[in-house]
Amino acid sequence: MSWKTNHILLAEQLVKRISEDGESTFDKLEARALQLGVSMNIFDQAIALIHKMKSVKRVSKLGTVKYSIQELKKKVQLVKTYISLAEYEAPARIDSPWCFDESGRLIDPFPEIDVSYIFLKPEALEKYKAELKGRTFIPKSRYANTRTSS
Amino acid sequence: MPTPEQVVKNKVCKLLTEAGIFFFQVNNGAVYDKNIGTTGGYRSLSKWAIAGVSDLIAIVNGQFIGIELKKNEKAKASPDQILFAKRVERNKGQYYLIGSEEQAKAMLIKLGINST
Repeated sequence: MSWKTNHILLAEQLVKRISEDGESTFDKLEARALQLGVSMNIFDQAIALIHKMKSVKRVSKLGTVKYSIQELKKKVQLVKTYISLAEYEAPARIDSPWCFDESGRLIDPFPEIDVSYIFLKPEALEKYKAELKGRTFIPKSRYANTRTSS
Repeated sequence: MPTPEQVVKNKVCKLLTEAGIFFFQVNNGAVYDKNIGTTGGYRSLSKWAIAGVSDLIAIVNGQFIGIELKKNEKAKASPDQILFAKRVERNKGQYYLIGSEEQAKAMLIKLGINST
């Protein structure tokens, strides 16, 4: 199976070509494909695949499409951050004597920080916020009042 | 309240109906589903559905005509829509980008249809 008959392999070749050139257009790629004798149906499928790639930036300009490679932002690794925080010997360690009261009960070292709502679902969070401000909570459902009982 | 594109769509559809052209609207958008995830989301399209399909499809004397509607004459087609246009033209169909009633009338003249 070669890249001339497989749209996935052809898409890889096209991305390689775009990254080598720095920037390319649909017409340039099409001309190159025609020159190499690639079937236009395979070429179209490959381009459709490229349009789904996040790493390829595409802009429509003057009736054609400009392609360029864009660097993707690295995903934030929250778990690693938490582990590194846990390893850090902060004064608020769980075995720290000031984390316990006289009777030996665990006390919250940061009582002013309210983090309870972080773990709530969006609607529950809205309800929590409303209660906190003394407002009455009105649930806003997307499909509220659209269905009528027959 | 209708969006600017809907206003153009209604005018163009009325014009095409008056001219006696067989056409239909394509509903190829993703459907919103509130049960997806915690905040809702869009259902994925069918495996064989493609992006960038024109808003209207007409057939005149056996000729495929793709009509992409825009809110005004300056609006540009997206990369997916350009790809769709290229594919239509490659298969000997016609593709029009229409942003006003005047452009629709010009299209009808080009197709050899008297709109009046």
